[in-house]
Amino acid sequence: MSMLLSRYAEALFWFARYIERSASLARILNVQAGFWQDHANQENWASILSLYVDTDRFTERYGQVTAQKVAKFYITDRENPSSILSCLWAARENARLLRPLISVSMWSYINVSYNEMKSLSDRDLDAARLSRTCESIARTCDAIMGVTEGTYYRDAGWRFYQLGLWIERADQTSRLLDVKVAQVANYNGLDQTETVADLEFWKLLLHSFEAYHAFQRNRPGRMDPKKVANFLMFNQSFPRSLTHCIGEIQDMLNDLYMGYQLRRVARCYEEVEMLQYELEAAAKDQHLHLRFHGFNDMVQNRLMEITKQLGQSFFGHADWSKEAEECQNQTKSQTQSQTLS
Amino acid sequence: MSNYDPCAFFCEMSSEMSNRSPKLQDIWKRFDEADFENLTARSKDADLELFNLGVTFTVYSDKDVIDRVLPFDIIPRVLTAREWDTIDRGVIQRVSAINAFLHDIYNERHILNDGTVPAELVLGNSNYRDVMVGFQPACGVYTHISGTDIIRDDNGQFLVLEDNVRSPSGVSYVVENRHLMERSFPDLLADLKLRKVSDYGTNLFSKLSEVAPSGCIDKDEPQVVVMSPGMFNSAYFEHIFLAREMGVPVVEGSDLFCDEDRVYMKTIAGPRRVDVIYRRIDDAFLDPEVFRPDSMLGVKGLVNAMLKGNVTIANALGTGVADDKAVYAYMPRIIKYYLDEEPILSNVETHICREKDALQYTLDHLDELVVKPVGESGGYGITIGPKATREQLDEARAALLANPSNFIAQPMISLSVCPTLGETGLVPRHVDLRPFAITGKGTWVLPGGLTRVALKEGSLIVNSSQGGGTKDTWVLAEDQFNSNDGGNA
Repeated sequence: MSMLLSRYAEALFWFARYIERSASLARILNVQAGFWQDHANQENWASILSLYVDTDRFTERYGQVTAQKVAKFYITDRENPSSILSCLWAARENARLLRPLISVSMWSYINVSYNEMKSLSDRDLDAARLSRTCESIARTCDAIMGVTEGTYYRDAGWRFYQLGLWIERADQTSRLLDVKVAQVANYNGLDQTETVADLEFWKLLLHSFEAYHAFQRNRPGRMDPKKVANFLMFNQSFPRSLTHCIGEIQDMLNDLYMGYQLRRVARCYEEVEMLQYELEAAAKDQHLHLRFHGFNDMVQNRLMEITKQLGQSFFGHADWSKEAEECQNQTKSQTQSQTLS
Repeated sequence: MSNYDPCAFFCEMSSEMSNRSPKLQDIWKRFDEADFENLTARSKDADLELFNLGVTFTVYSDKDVIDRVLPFDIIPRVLTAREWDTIDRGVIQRVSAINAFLHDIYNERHILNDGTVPAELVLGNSNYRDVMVGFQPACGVYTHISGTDIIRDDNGQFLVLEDNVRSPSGVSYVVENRHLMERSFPDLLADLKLRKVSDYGTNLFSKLSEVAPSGCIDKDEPQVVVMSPGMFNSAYFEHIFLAREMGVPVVEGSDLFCDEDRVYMKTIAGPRRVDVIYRRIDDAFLDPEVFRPDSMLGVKGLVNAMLKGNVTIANALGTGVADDKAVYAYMPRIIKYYLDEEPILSNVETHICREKDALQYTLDHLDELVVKPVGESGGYGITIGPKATREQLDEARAALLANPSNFIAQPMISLSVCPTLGETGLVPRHVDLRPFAITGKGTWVLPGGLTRVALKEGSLIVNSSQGGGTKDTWVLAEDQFNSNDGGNA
């Protein structure tokens, strides 16, 4: 089998990121939709905009924040490059480029899913239907990942797909926590006695991660904000926690190093290790809430660094002319050793 | 029996059935007696399946990507074993002659020097590539992949209408159409012995491996790639298909680079040598150092790497001379010249308007002839005399007089028809055939080929860009004549 082209590795990486991003967005909107009628809701819908740093772009085009408008902005608006429809479009275009590698059923499923998405109308986003629509989008994304998991050949490309998935997931977790925790800290700060409304808030937060049941199994009893935040960030086994995601990223890089002899993994690995140290330190930090935003900023920046490093090491964002010489020398030494043996 | 009537045309299904093969009767009955509503419904399902599987060509607009299915007609076109034998031998003969011709015109030029083919027709041709002069491609092959457009006249005789020896497309539809038929209409295919088409990729890969360049390090396992202009190209599906069937990467120009006259592809483990490039982009875009400097699709230094014997480019550069419509007219003479054989497949009679007598004949019989510009493809710029209006004929006359050597003229050939699913029943529609040949250390022809069908009533233009569709092409493994049957004589 010939070595994976850099362009394909990059497309697999971004394919995963776009699908994961769509799923995450659908989940967040779904939880929001459940509380459509709520009084404080306006603010919650606005908080989604700050989660993705989209407030200015939104206001420019839509004006006043309403549930319907935010849903439209994030689901069906093709003018918004980070809407679910735009993400799925980008995922599909990456998949199109990847068609020589992916299974027919995977392409076919993505193709059908995108075409279904495209036919969503404003009616599908009204109060009565929004939750169901989000639910079905999230399921569709899950299914695309399922087909991928079930049919994609486990070559080096699979590792790049996984890297994309785990990096995006870590990023989404960090962003969502950052915004949500800032929101509640505005009221009372993390370690003050929580009110009934707060309790609802933490439950809601767990639901946006589909983490409610896992949390309850682990931490029976009262809902403690710190415990919730720690669970979502540092639990080893919860598949959306930062700790879990970073662990998976390390595994994938190990695979690429050990299984495919890709020496240049080293530079990415260093970046990931630094992030890992920061996480370990944060997990032990009693006063993390005081530097919560700074911490999440650091996480997101490190993830961006890792992505950049992948680009330099594997996706061909570096200088190729020097590398040809290396390859030439390698071939020579290989031919020599063959002649000797 | 239905009221299907092919009129005066030769019908690929129902004409001379007993002479051609007793099996035809059986196949025709299967479709003719099938429930029409049921066929229509299943045909619609088949279209949807093609769409969902992405067997599509792609149209891009500003904001979106539109995938279209090339219309597929479920009634197959059937070739008997004997008919196929003729085509198979005829295509191999033609491709051999073309490769010999290309070798000659880029080396000794015997055929030009002795005046068999006018030298200016070849040397002055816009597709003649000086860079190929004196270059010896591996195995002496210039056109590795070729498609021969064949039609059938009222008498059922096969005639070659056009050679495609640059970068013929459509083979993916041949294989996908069969897969679709097998999935959607297993009942109609039951108990038929047909030649298979599914091993095209395997054969392509082994033929391309045979033509690995002299500078290839590992001749047992050369690195083959398919080079595509990218996913914005309307034939991107076919590029993927070819790569998938061969198990090799699809590369774009940006995935490749040259260093010290060797070609590399950019992989996650660094550069990797490339030995054979099956390119699906035109000569002019291959190498910005040699051809169009503005080409974003090509690779700097590619042509030099080829000249140094470090990479095989398939098809070779400069093959376009051989499928030029003006050179086509000389093809029977070219076959005789190099192979000393009579052509197995005849040309359609062709008048070369650059020659004085032919021009005069064409002008005198304009309303009977089909006049074609030699440079165009895709059915554009053609004047069909018998169907043209007074004004159209006058325009054609003016164009002919202004630049006679830009045109050839041929008599109006009535293409054969094949039963096709219409609105209310089976209707006759005109078809042609493009068999695909692959050449390495020998030539192999995919049994059957692409049958294109003009879906509009009366239309003779089968090009997909102008409302044509495709059909599955069935080649009978044996004709199954009884021993005392007269048809086998």
